Amino acid sequence: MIKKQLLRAAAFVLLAAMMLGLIGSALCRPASAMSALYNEPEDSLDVIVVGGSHVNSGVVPAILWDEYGISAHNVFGWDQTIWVGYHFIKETFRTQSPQVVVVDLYGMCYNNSIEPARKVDELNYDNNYLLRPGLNQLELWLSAALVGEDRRNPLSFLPMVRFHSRWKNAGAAFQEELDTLPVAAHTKGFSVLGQVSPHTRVEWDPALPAAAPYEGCERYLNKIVDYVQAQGAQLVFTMLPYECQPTEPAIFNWLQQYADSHSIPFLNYCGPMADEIGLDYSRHLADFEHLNHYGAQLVTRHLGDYLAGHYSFPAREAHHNLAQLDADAQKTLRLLAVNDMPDNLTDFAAWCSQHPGTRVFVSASKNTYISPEVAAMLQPLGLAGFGEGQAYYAVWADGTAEQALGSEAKRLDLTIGQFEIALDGEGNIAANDRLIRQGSGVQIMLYDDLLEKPTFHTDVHPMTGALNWADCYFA
Amino acid sequence: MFFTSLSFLLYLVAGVLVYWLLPHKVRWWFLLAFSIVYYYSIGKKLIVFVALAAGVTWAAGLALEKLLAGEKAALAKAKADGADRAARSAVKAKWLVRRRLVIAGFVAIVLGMLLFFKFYNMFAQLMQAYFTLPLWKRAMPLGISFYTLMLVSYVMDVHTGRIKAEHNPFKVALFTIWFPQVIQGPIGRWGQLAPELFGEKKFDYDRFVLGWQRMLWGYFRKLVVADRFSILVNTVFDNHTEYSGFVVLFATFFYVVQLYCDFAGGIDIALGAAELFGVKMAENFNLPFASQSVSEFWRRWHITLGSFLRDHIFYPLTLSKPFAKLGKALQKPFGRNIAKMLPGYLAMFILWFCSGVWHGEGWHYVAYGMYHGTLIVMGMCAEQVSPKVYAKLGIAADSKSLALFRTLRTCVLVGIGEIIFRAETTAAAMQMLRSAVTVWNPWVLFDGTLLTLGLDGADLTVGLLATIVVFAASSLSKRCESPLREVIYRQELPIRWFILLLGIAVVCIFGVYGPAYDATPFVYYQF
Repeated sequence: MIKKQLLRAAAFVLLAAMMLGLIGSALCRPASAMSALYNEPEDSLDVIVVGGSHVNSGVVPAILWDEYGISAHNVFGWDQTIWVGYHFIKETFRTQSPQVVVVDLYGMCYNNSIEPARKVDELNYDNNYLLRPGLNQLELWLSAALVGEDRRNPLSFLPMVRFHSRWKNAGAAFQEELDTLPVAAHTKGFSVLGQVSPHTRVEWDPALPAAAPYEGCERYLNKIVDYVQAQGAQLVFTMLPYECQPTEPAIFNWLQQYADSHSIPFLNYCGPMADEIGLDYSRHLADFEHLNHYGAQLVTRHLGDYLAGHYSFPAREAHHNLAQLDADAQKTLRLLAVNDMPDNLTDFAAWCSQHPGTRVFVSASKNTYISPEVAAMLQPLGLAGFGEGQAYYAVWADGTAEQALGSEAKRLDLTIGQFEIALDGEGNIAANDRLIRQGSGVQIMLYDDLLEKPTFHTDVHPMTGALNWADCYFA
Repeated sequence: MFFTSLSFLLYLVAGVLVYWLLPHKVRWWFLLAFSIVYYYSIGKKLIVFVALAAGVTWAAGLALEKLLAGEKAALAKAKADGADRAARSAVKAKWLVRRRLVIAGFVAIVLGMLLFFKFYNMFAQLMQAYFTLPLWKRAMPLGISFYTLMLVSYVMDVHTGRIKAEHNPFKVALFTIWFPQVIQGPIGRWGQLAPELFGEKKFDYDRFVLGWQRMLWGYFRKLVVADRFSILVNTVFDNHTEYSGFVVLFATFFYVVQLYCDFAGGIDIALGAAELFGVKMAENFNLPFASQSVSEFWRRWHITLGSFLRDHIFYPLTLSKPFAKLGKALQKPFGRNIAKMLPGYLAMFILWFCSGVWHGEGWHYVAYGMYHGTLIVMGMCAEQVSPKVYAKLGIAADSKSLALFRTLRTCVLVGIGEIIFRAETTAAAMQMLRSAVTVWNPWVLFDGTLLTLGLDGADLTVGLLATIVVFAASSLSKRCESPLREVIYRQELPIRWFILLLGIAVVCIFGVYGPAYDATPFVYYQF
């Protein structure tokens, strides 16, 4: 009798656990950082670049493929700590056999950098859910709970516990989150940062006494070295450029000593190497800790030279996913190419002619006042006759009006490539696929045929014609 | 390892498994070790005070038993020696003095610890004008208010001969630190709890499942209702000067719901957890919001505290010689009937004063106690005349509308009391009460103001729906004349599992817990 009752109880517990597991995974915050890696065909990568957001914005795998024939992928997670990096490397080796593992060592500055350690831990907890369920993920949870400063009960990482409050995001808001994932698969873990933010490089003395990093970092760096060597792969350390803190150069020196003692190359782009590659902190940073895409291209080319010069990779044609690699690289390179947006209407007309494959959507709200000069500038964009109290829109492709210039006094649904946009009859953008832009006045949105997505949008200053672009990469 | 943590649930499951695998003789030892680890996980080193209290209680119990035996022997000897009644009374009085000395010593230590932890800092601050006393900067032992009352009742029951003293100090220790009740009750009595803890038990699957169901219901009340509303309640009560009128009334309504679901939910978890070990504990709530008077409310709310106060304060006072003398002295000026009742009223006020003081430092607790004392005394007075008033007005005393009116009136009176209870100070409570009745702003219920109090529309909807479920379930259990969990347990397996899985899903999804929320401790933990 008791046996039967216990079996029944066990069945109920199992059922409840399955139900909670399913609900937990459904409520889990969607993230794309590792999903792109999971989509890579097995054994298709020559190099992986492991690190945090510095890697995400600082290394362009498309350039490594296009110029060096190296199939690479950035294995990153926001603010990735070294112990999270270790588990990401292990996860990668489940399906890939890269010859070279490039590890960016910014995570070694944990507890010595500008970011408080507990904040880094809190951000990293989201990285726990980037891995597929399995032993490695459980190990990551344990590492996350036991290594950092912010010790948490590993049970608090159960998706049900961590994400249950997201029930409010169900439905439309949930879909919106899915639509705004930051990394497209073709970029292979790279995100374009277009802005230029001038900063100063911190000069540091290589003779500065070395300072040991956080204990957990050293322990997990050793684990990475042991693991990668056990897999028969080569390690390369990097320190991608950022405006470092006064406490950090001493750690760099420790890292240099560590790399030397383990015979691992260390490309420290925060040091004099930045000058060697022509990195200019006044032009190549998007903010104090991330490269913009100009800086990323410089660093990637140097890294590509180094990898191609020191290791032998399979020939380009030997890659079994050659066509996909080419297509993905072209898309990412296109992203880089369409990034220099002019800041006024006159130059914008010229820009359009230099970038075939871009469709330009222009709309103007009814009764929007603009100066005659700006009205004249808008003429080449199909808004002639503007200012008569009518709403206008136009879609241009390669210098030709693709959709008729119109002044509809009713809601209008347009399709630009694969992008849907609605005007409310007053010329205001009422809705579009991912709510990239709504509002009134004169507005421009660009749609790229190769990327099959909108790339930039701006409003037009009614008096000067000045443009204020924002990117749609995350849309 | 609070009741609402996952660690507690895992610890509990492991403990239950081990407990039922152990032979009967060692099970209570296991419960003691299990309870010590549980208490230590929360109370840390303050556990030494629990041990000290248990040790003193054990010793006091033994001393009282010895004195009772000595008294018995002395009385027998006196009887054998042919002593007259006066001589025997003298012997009795002599032994009574000795027992009272033991009780005084016990009270000085055990109740002294409670008073020290609750009021020392308040006293030190009051005395600052005259001399400087160092403040006690550490927390007070968790559950001290609850286990102290349990130990007092144990000693008093030994003293009155209701129970025999326990010779094994570790059994007294388990009675003191028994994990489901040590932190927020119910206030168990030795006579009821000891047989459950130490008696031989067989694993009862039905009881085991019902225990889990009760815990699930407790988690629903605590996590889905109480902790959700605590966000809104804290916003209003912690910034009370910024709110008035209907916002205060609204927050008060939610505070009453929060307090009930928090405390009753915690008790459900405690009683359910105890049932997993085959231990039945005293009930602490019995549909309090169905009460038709404040005194009935207090017979249904925190029942174990009420019965403790009644047995150890009210009855001893009303039966004491000074009160008998007082009754006699009042006969002349007030007449026999009133003189008979006045000492009872006085004892009632003393009882409620003690109840207020028991809740902690702060005059608002005393005001809260006196408010309820006044309401109950007024109710007792009104009971004398209300049948005549109803008769004159032609209202049937058993009519449904009158019952509804009385229930609503009780809820309103209790609600006013809860403002006093929850407010930071008496002055804050008065300010809130004043602003609640003098400001007329019903539009705040519809203009979106309520959504600025910390809960958005979705949370508010979930909280309100859950509140309806809580009260509907209470009403259903009343109608079925058995707890809802038993009604569910009698259903066919698929229906039963569906309801339980739905309950688990609702608690897990809509519960206020985990990193997205700050954990809200049980309201009664602080007492």
